[in-house]
Amino acid sequence: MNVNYYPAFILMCGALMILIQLCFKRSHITSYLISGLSLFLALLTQLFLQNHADTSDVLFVLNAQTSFVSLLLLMVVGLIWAQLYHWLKTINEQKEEYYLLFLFTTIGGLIMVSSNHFASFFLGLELMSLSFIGLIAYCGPDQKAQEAGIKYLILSALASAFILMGAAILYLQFGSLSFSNLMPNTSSQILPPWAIITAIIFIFTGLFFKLSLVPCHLWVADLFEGAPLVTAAMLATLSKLAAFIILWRLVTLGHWQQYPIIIDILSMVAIASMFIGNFLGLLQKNLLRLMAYSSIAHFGYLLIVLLLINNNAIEFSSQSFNTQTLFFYLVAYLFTLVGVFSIFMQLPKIKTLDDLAGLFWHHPVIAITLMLLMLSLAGIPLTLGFMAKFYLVMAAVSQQLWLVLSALVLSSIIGLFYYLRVIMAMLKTPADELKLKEINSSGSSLSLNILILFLVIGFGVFPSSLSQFIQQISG
Amino acid sequence: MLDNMLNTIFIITAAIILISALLTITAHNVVHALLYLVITMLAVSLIFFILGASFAAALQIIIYAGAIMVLFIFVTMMLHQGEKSLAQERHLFHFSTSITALFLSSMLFFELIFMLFLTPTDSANSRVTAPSSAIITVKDIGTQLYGPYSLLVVISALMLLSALITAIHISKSPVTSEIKTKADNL
Repeated sequence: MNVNYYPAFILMCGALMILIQLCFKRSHITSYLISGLSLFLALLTQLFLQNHADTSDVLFVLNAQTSFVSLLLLMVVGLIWAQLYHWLKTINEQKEEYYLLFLFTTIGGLIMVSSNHFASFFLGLELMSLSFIGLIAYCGPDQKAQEAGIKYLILSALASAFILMGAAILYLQFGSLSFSNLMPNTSSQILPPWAIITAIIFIFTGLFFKLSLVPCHLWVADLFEGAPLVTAAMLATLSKLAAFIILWRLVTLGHWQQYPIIIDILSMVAIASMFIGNFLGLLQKNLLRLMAYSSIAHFGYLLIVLLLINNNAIEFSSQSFNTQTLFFYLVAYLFTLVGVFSIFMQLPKIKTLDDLAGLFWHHPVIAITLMLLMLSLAGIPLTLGFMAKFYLVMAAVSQQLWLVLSALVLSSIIGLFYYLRVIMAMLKTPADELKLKEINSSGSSLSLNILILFLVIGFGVFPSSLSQFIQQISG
Repeated sequence: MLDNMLNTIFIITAAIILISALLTITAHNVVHALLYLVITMLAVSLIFFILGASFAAALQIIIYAGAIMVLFIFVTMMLHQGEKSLAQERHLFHFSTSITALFLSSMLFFELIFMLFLTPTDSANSRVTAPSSAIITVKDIGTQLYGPYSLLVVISALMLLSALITAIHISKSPVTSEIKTKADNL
């Protein structure tokens, strides 16, 4: 077997070992350790493969870029995993299956980000979304979680149907399901261009569902609120990362930016996502819904990267810069988001902005961490989020996309308002001291907070090491 | 001549697919909807057959039509309530409501008979295949699935496993909580 498949293979072995262990004896701590060990080994293998990976076969492409994305994915999942044990202890369910489904979603994400074929992409997507249904509806009797699970089931089935239809039409034109054969060949044009554009729009619709971009964003807030907290974190990071990478690869490999209408659709969706996401977040009281709306806006910003893709050989240097922008933004946003969610996991009773009141005076470390993470999401200087936005604006200026750029600036200002509201809420005098007393502020969560702070502020102040690394892999 | 005939058959089958799919989603009665769904599946399998993918056609019938029928039988068996449900079933299976389904499926049947026995045999082997597509045998599919696409088999196995775990967990948890509340009440 190809050495590049080892990370996913290790995760699969971990999942199967948990399954075997379940046959004999249920033990929460053993499942936790097995899943952690397999994640850690997979991460190490992926780190080792970073310098060696450069192969591609029918189903998968494994080069420095996909390997970097897999590494990012495994790191994000590892950070979420670190919080899993304490959180699962609080729920009143059998806990071991959660680790199984958790590992399965990770495998699905890994398959998706390195897939080079519609079949592997689709199976990875289905593996991920089927496991997500289990993760969302995990806390059985909870009405809201079940509702969210049903919603996700129906919407992901719908999205998959759209993607399949698009893939079928593209197959009719190109005679192959491989991504590398998506290059349009004008000599053998079987279908009229509008049919291909329809197929592209079908695939976009499916992926926009997963990314919760504007016309398909209605589910995301209910899901974030209804799903268990860890699942919401996974949905916001893993699922969106995998879907965005696929979208980016498809647009790049298929030269889809040659159709002007596709460019128009992308810029419209980007602008609408920025504004609607930020406006919906503006007066939102519920913290998780606020994060959901903020993620709509952030993926709207990221769509700018797709508008920048330009396959002219002359502008190859700018092409590499766009890839750097994409990776830097993804790293910055995902780490910040994981940080925010791990803070939320440490504050189990706090659901709304009013509950946050007085957090700063009782638990200053948690409050300061959350404060800095919010500033990073808003893009204030000296944080990682600022550097990411700086990259994005630089790239947009270099290709003179003034319309989306002005939308980016305006909606960022709107977004700043609600990120600052969270910080203001923490500084108020507390209304209900009881809730704040129950906060879990153990040593392990403290060290995790410090790690996240180190990542967000450290790379924000000294971004050069990260950007050099990204430059290396995307050059 | 042969191409023309195959094209006609294809168009009739495609029309049957569209009609029965529309009837599936517009039928108010679940049983009727299932009946039309089975016809849709049969028609799709006929199209696979015309294209030369006879294995896919067989799978389509075995998995979709067969599974739906089995599911249907299970549901009727589980919900059986003696005389009351018999009367209900009589009401469900009234002949006049199933006449469209019978008509559509008999059309498919005649098409199949026509293709198998009445088409001229002069054009040698590729009798029931559309031009420019060879017949795909089971062996071809097997070598592909265990050759370059072997990882897909593994991934789909994982997918089914995760779906199974999800289904078991979700269907199990409300029961245990009910038992708990019952025990509390006692």
